[in-house]
Order: sequence, then C-alpha cells, then structure tokens
Amino acid sequence: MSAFRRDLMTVCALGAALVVGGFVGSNYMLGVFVLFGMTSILVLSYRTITTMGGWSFAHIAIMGIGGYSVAILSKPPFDLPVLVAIVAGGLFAALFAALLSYPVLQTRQYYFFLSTFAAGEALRQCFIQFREITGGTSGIAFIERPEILPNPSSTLEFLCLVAAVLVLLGIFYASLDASDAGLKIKAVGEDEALSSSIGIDAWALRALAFILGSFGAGIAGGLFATYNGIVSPSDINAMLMFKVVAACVIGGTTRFSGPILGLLFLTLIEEIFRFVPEFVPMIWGVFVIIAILFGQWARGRLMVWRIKNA
Amino acid sequence: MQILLNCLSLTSFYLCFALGLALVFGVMRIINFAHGEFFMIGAYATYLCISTLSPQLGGPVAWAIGAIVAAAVTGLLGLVLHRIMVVPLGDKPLAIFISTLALSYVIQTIVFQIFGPVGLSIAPPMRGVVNFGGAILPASRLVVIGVAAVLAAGLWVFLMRSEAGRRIRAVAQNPRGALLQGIRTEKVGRLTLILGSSIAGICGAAMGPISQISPFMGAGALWKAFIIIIVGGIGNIWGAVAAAAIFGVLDTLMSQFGAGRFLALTSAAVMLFVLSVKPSGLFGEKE
Repeated sequence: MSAFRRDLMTVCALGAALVVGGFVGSNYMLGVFVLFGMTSILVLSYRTITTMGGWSFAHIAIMGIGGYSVAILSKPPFDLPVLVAIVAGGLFAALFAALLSYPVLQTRQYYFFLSTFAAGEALRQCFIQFREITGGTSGIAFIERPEILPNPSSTLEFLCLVAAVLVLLGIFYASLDASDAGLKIKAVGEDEALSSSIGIDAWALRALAFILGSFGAGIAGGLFATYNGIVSPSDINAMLMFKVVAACVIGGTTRFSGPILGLLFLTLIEEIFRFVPEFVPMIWGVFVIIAILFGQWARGRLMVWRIKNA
Repeated sequence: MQILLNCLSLTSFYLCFALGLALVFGVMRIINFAHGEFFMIGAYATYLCISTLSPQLGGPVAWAIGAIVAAAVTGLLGLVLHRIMVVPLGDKPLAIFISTLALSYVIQTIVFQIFGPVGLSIAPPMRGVVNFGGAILPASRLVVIGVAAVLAAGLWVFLMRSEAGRRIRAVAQNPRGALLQGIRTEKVGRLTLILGSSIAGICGAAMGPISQISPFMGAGALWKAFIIIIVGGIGNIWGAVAAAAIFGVLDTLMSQFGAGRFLALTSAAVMLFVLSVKPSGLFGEKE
C-alpha cells in the first residue's frame, strides 16, 4: 500500500468516523466531533508546512484571517454566500502567507519560528486595534451558518459539512504530498543545500508549502467563525497554536495519521480533565516534553543497538 | 525632556527583557521560550520577599533581597533547564524551542494554581517621583533604568574582561574552535543559561513594582523581545541593545503622537523589512 493511499484512507476514515460518531453520539459529543474535525484541518494543513522543514508559529493568526474574512464578506455590503466567503477566506489567508513568505522564508530554523511567532502576534494585535473593521476586542458577531445546509441550526449537518471539507482538503494535501512538487518540498526540508545543488528552487518550494498550508488554515478559520457565530481576537489563542504544534510533535509528521493521532491523544486528555480545564495546558506540556525527550533517548539507544549489532 | 525620559524608561524595559534572551541565543543558538516565565517567577519571588520582609526591614532592603532571591531562583531554573533539556537535545533548536514552550505552560499553570489568576501588586520599594528639568519620572522607573544600565554594563565588563567571559565569547564565535582549545563548551553553556535566566529574574524584580504581576505577564512581552533579537542580529548581544533603543524610542514617539494603535503593525513591519534586506539582522554576521 503506497503512502499516498494510506494518507487518503486516513482522511476518509476520519471523515466517516466523525459522521458516524455524530449520528450515534450525544449532543455534547457532537460539539466535540465538530471541534475535532475543524482542528484536524488545522493540523493537516500545518503538517504540509512542516514538510518543508520550518515550523511556523503564525498558523493560528493566519487562521484568524479566514475567520475575519467570513465575518466581513458574509455581511453587507458584500453579502456573499457563507460558503463562498469561506473559500475566499482561505484564499486571503494564502495571499497573506504569500506576502509574508519573502521576508520570513529568508530565515531558517530558530529565526523562522521567531519571525513567524512575532508576525502572528502582530497580526493578532492588529485585529484588536483596527476596531472599525474588526470590531476590536469584542470581534464580529451574528455570523450565519452556510446556506447550503437545509437546517442551519443543526450541529449534525454542520458536522457533515466539516467532514466533507476535511476529506476534500485531505485529498488535496495528500495529492500535493505525492506529487513531484511535494517530493521536492520534502527534499528541501531534509537538506536544503543538497536540493539547491541539483537545481531545485528551494525558496519557491518552501513558499509553496507555506502558502498552501495557510490556505487550509484560512478555511478552518472560516468554519470556526461560522460554527461559533462570532469571531474575535480571543479565538487566536496561544493554546490552540500549542495544540496544533503538540499534535505534530507527539504524533510525528511523516504521514497524515501522525498528527491526527496526536490530536486525538490531546483531545482525550482535554475531555478527561474537562472539570479542571486550568490543568490541561500543563498536562499537554508535560506530554510534549516527554515525547521530545523520549524520542531523543530512543534514537540514541537505537543507534547504540545498531552499532553493537552491525 | 519628558519624551526623552519615557524613551529611556521603555528602552530599559525592553533591554532588560531581551538581554538574557539575547545572551543565551547568541552563545548557544537556542531560544528559551520559558524566558518570559522566568521573568514572571522573578517578579513573584520579589513579591513574596517584599510582602514578608518589608515590615521589618523597610521597602528598599526587602526589594534588594527580593532581587537576589529572584536571581538565585531563576538561575537555578536555568541550571535545571540546561540539565534536562539543553544537554540531551543538544543541536536540535526546534526540539528545544518546543520543549521550552511546553515548559512555559507548565510553569504558568503551577503559578496560576499557587497564586491565583488575578494580578497582584507589589508595593514599590521607592516612593515618590524624581524631577529632571521639568519632567517627572516615578522613582520605581528610575530603578528599572538603573538595573538595565547596571546589567548591560556588568555584562559587558564580564564578557570583555574576565576569563569566563572570554570563554563564553569564544564559544559564541566558534563552538568547535573553542572545544579544540580545551574549553568545556558544556560548562560554558551551563554558565550562560544560568546567567541569562538570572538576568530574567532580576528584570522581573525590577519590573514587578511598576505593573501588576500575573501568571501570564511573561508571555505578553515575549514577542517584542523576539522582534528585538531578530532586528538586532543573530548572536549579537550589542545588536539587541541597539534594537531595544530603536524600539524604545519608536514606540514612545508613536504613543506620544497618538499612533499607539499602529505599534504592533509597525514593529512587525520593521522586522519584516529588516529580514527582507538583511536576513541576519542589522548587526548580525553571516551564519
């Protein structure tokens, strides 16, 4: 079974599981499934960015662009259908990433996380400051659900929509991964100097990964906004960013199943400790530290074992 | 004159906050995301010292003891951090970045549980205001300016004039070369991290009386410190000093002339511009 097929199976199985779970689960579970589906879109799009070797910390701020686009475009004077606005939000997020990509992708490693972190934070501050457009700290409320749903107030129908979007984007990202460009992006992520030496345009491919990954973040942001009915600067919180990064760290980013399983694990913790939510970040943090340190230790042991048994 | 003083006071704060981060980053090429939390712990340590000691000893003495305790506690934290994360993860900047990010959440939650989420106020050790040629400056801000000046000058003397400082500079310039000269790079790294963390703690002690202290006070200031390090240049502590001055002046002027809402945008624009023109920062050398 090829990697491409396995990734497709992963997203389709996840989409199906969400829908089936939605039909049999309680009302509370429905909400959990919807959030899980939307966050899955975030982690899958984030994984695409990580394949080029850079871990961005602006992903959630860029998601906010999608949310605000939907809030603004679905209201007068634009009055676009919500679904069109969501797609537009994804495109705006991609556009923003494209603008950011020249300065930010000049940087490597630590500079890349620092600069994306600072840029994301500055963007969040802008959402707070430009009150005329974004409604300041209170945000923009009364965002409609997409019109294509027969019954807009039904969470189950919205869950089906999320699952459909998840599968579509999953197919898109899996195809990208398996394509020529996707393989080159991975090569650049592995060893940039070597890739450049055989004539791969490293910068363009890193920008491509960053832009396409940000597109998914924008779509997820649009879905969040229409699901909550409101978008505000508090949606762009560090916890969510941490959740996305932690899912990729705990699960690994080689295949699609990694981040999804990581996210599943974090969500389980969140649900188990539902009654003491203030402890959740700490428990997540502890698990991330364990995952990183244990991974390092295990790699070391493996190396020793290989040398001994060589 | 008032504007000048405000510039100086803001620059001092930025400098305080970014100095330890820039030192650790410059020498070891690692980002300690929990730096903001160390700053916060310094402030809380000072709060505890002042609230328990100031009735017997008076404000200024209690504050001085608080600052020493803050430096000791955060220095110890730096030592622990070096032992459990930096040494095992050695040359993996991303892994260190993310594990210190995780650590910052752990510390935040612990402090949140002990002291509660509500901001606390520290009684300022120095009361009253100082007059400078018609401009006023609260005494506690004068403390911050003093602390920043002493720290920057002390660090300069230490790095330039002492044996240990020379070792640190050697490692910063060329870790492998330093190793070949018989310098124990791991020891130097440990010293650097302890120093950088202590600086964060002292700044927490200095800044605590000015603003409210809360479990999340460190995280809020961190992004600005990141921008300062980037603009200042890679591995260049004096570049960070210059960048702190640039932003101290820029931000004060913008607030003064009613453009405060564009602060974040301007800072980010400056950062992105510098990155576009000179990816290694204004005063950085090519990697």
